[in-house]
Amino acid sequence: MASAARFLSRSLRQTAFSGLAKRTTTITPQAHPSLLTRPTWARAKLMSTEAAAASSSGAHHKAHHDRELYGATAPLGGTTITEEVVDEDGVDVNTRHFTVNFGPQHPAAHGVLRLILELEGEEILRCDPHVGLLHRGTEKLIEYKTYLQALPYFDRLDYCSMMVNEQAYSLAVEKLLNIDVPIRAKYIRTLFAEITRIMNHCMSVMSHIMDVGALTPFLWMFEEREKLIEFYERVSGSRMHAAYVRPGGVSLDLPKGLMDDIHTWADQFGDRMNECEELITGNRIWKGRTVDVGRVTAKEALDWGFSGVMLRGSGVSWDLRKAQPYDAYEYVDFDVPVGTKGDCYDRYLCRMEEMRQSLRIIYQCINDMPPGPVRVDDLKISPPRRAHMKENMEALIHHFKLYSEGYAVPAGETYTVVEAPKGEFGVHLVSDGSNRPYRCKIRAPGFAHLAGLDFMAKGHFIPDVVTMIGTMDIVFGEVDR
Amino acid sequence: MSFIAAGRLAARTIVPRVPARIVAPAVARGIHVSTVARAQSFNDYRPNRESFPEDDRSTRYIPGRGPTTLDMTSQSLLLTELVRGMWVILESFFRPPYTIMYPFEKGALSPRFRGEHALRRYPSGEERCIACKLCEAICPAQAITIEAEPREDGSRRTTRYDIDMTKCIYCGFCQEACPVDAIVEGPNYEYATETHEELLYNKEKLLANGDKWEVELARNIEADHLYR
Amino acid sequence: MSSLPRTIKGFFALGPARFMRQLNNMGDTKVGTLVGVDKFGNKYFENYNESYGRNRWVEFAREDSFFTRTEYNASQVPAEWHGWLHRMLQEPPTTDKTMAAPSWGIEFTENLSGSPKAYKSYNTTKPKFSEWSPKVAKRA
Repeated sequence: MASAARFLSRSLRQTAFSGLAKRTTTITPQAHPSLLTRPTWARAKLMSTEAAAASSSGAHHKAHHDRELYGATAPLGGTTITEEVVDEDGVDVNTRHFTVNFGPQHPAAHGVLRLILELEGEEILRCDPHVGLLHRGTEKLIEYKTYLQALPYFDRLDYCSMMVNEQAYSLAVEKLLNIDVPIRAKYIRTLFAEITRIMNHCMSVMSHIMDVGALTPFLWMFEEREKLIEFYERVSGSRMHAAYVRPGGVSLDLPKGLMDDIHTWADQFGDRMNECEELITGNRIWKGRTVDVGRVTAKEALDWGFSGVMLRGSGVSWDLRKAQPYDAYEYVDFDVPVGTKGDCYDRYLCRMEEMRQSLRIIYQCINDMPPGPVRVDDLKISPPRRAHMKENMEALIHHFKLYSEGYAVPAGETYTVVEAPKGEFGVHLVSDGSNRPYRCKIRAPGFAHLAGLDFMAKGHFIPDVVTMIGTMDIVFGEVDR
Repeated sequence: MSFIAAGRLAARTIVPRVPARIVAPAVARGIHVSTVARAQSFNDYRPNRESFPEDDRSTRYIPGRGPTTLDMTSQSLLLTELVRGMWVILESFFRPPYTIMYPFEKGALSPRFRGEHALRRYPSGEERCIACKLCEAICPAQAITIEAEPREDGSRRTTRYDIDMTKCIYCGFCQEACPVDAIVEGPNYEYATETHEELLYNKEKLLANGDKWEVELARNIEADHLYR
Repeated sequence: MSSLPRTIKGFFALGPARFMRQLNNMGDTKVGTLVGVDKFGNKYFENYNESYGRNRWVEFAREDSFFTRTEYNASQVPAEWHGWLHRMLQEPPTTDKTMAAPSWGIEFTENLSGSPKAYKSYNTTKPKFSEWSPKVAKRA
């Protein structure tokens, strides 16, 4: 009975009258001290017997309870239940948990996630993510490519935030090369990293909302995302896999008029976000699905290696753009939103606020964009301009060397991180002094987050798993690498 | 296990949730104003569950502006936040659609667009490629295969220039590497085929692409020459 | 069909035949000025009162009409008009005289995949080995 009430209260809360349903459930651990000591699967039965005994018409409740357990086909008399057989641990040996495969074809699995859910009724006891269905051996492949050739692989890791991955790799190579890129390149990278952040959050938050049941904001924000993809295309020639941020700067300067158009876009993007928030943020259905779902304490978040919004949503104010500024982040002004409760709703609010902060950074980058070169002035690292290459023998030789052999990077190793939209994206690069990396380990934030799904999902219901996958912003390109 | 579950139950029942009044766009701003990063250290985190037990984030309490009982009741019963959301939807219902009706209308492209490959010729009609094999060397996907031998007039040309378009990752390194602007990634992206074999381009196909698209290829290179 | 007033206006501006044809193909009625016609008979229109992205469009020569079913596809736009339609170029090729096709240029073809004329890959080099053709010696 109590489990029924629990379920009822939950479904009521999801639909409409949150406050009312909450207050009707008055069974607390204080009232039932045994709840704290008995295992979960024993609890339902315990509570049902207690409730039945407490009520005056016990038989009726018993029948109701049976129907609850065994569905409508169970005999209503409630006489078929075998006697409870309990082993020495207090576990009912007649209990059999239900195992469900969630994915890899489930549309809410965000790609090729396969979850094995162990259920008691609809409550999740264990949640076992299986990864590797999108494994492409990127790290090993990189060992056989020159430093330039390894770059396009990074677009394809987290394919929702392409240029940030390239930025992480480029920063790592630059650190090994011990070079500093021109200031204009830094600003361009920052500008596009923030554009990428908005692109990623448009994708992640809106598909999260769509998984939970609202299609409209998804379509609205994908219109904005399409515009950002067009900016990508104008600057790099490719709508997604840009290969634009290179070790030593960026590949080409911004085309004329692009910054005007980004500014025009940024002027209207705040309104689009307001529309979305008007529709979603206060919505009781959305709140019913996200508030108090997937709560992560700051301790848990740190213990499980969470980063990015998964960490900030729990109240830890840790942002690599502030903690160890790279590129032009030390020159721009922005705030870091931090959650208070660490549930899915908090992380949603953090992401929405991050988009607004990204907009601030974009404005600052456009207004402060310095003139100058966009690649380091070192022909041993960055290729010469085409006009030079065609008329200057020395430049032609450098061009040939760079595009065939590549450049040698001094021996050493580095772990370089950026604040990717999903969290801490790190590249551990080991160089043996040759022209190709000795080892490249990629630290994907989604992998650590996925590992935490088990403890987050425990005790929740199946639809909450969908919410949690959405809030973790899983992209399998980077998880499986 | 049992502790977690019981703790969850306790949290659910003890903490009453207050129905919220909607201050939609200001909501997220409220959050960062109140809890924006003060410390950047891992040791400085607050175990948040204890610190903010009764915190309802959609209505941050602003003195004098907090939701009254009337507010909360009317919001709960009159579905005000849903009505407001539906109003936004109604507004956009009357806006012109932004759907591009492909293939009659097409999306914008830039001169830098990296689409289908083409081999170009000089204005005289002589093919540009000199079989230096830089594109073959730089191609990260190893999609390009080149064989070369001297032609009858003694000039060095390719006899085989194959691109496996199904291996290609369209990174654009080949056109960057090419010293004579022979291999380019053109503006065409409407070359989907029914079979895999049709995407194994050989030299003739690539040259034919160049001849078909030269009008636009030359324009695009010219448009972008200041940046390259 | 975007809105009723627009569709009704389109009906009177386009006439019933083109109106039906456009609704049949584009699903919308679009009125604009004719910018040019390419060598295949595709007609190019523009109307800058339309929203960005929808202000230039093509009406294919082989579009479905009310009575016939012919096949059109996106790759039928030739290279000269491709840049204009994709808004890479400001000027259409009718006024832009710098867009001269080279003398060695070949006829534009649409994507022929699936038709008998589809491209088939073949080897462009001389074979590096030839098959063994056994010669049978006469029996004595």
